[in-house]
Amino acid sequence: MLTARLILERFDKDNRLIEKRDQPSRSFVSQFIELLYVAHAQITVFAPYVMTDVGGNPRDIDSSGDGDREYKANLMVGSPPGNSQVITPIGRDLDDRFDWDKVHNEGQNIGIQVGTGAGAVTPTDIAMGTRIVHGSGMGELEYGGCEFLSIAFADPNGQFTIRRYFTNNSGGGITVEEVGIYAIGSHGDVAAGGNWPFCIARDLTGGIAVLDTELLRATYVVQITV
Amino acid sequence: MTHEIKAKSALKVIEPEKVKTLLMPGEVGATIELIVKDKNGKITDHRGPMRSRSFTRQFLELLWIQALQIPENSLYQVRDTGNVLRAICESAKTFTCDAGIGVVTLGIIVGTGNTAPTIDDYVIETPIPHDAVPPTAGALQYGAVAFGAPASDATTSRFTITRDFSNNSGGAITVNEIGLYVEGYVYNITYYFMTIRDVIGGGLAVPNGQTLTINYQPQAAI
Repeated sequence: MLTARLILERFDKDNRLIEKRDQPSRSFVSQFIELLYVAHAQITVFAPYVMTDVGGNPRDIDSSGDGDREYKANLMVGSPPGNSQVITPIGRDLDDRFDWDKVHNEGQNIGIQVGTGAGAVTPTDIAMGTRIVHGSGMGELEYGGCEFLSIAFADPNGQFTIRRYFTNNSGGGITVEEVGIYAIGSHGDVAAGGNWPFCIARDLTGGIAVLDTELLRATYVVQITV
Repeated sequence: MTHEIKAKSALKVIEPEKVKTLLMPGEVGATIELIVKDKNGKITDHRGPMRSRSFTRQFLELLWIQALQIPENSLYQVRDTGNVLRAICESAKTFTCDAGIGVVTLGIIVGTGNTAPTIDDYVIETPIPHDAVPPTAGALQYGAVAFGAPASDATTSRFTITRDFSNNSGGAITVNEIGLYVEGYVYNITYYFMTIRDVIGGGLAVPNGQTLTINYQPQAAI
């Protein structure tokens, strides 16, 4: 079985740890299973599978590749910080500007997310309840890169770690009620291709107050046990 | 003389509320269901659904490769079903398991080994070969892998991977182990990796003339 732990740590502006919570992650949601389905079934670009992105829009998704390299960003979670550009291969050659337009995204839209929504998690959640936007304005947190640590095994267990820092330079306190993970799904169609984030996990925190100038570190430790 | 494979994969829609939830909240795993039918379609044995115990390390490694988007110029090594470490990267093929009829390198694979699974298992212990020209003693006719689309109920999301195995070998065959082989890829080369291995307690006998259907159902519970 695969499970995950969610670790939330709050640091002051001098990087002193002032609060730590460690809880089981309860909530890999349907879109994780759907992205695994698309991958296992080798869904083709000609008969795509429809998923709902984090904006509530239906999107055709496939697992077709193209050429010798077959690059495809489906299930991508690792990402650079904030507004940094991410190239998200969609399974087709990038011949011109119009193809390149389909493979852009921002780091903040991929990987671990935080929000202020406290509504109960359901398997059909398609997004954070109320996502906290990247930035330094009121109610915003600055998203660092979503990084992965090395994968490790010791029979009967294996694990890897995903984590992201959120810096509060908003001028006021922000209470994080929910943490989740957004992963990429993509479509390699010539005309309608593109890439979009999908919510694959969402957990409630019970509320963790991040004061102005503080740092929140959100960590998912993904584990399997035989 | 030609031989025709008569196994045909067929998925039936099961109302979600009738599906047993076998996973604990927060778990991502799979269930296994085993159904044996005679030549008239009558069920002669039915096990499960039951918990699949055993994602192997290759499952986590492929997930890590794809989620982190390991690039072609910084490959990661994963042990394939031939016991060779293969350097691979992210790709459109990661996790693919849509095997056709008679393919024994991909999809659900059965065997007669009964050694308990470990996280480091990379291949079925004793694979049962495909019976291309029946009757071949100890061989089963592998059907094509079929898929059931994802569905969710109040707590659980799931999809289904199905394969039929017809026994026209001339004798009974006992299936003790089941695995899932999937693809990984790097520039023009496809490799095969085992992501799940389960041992069936006591084995499951498939009499001559009967067909075993295996349903693997990957799922997530909240």
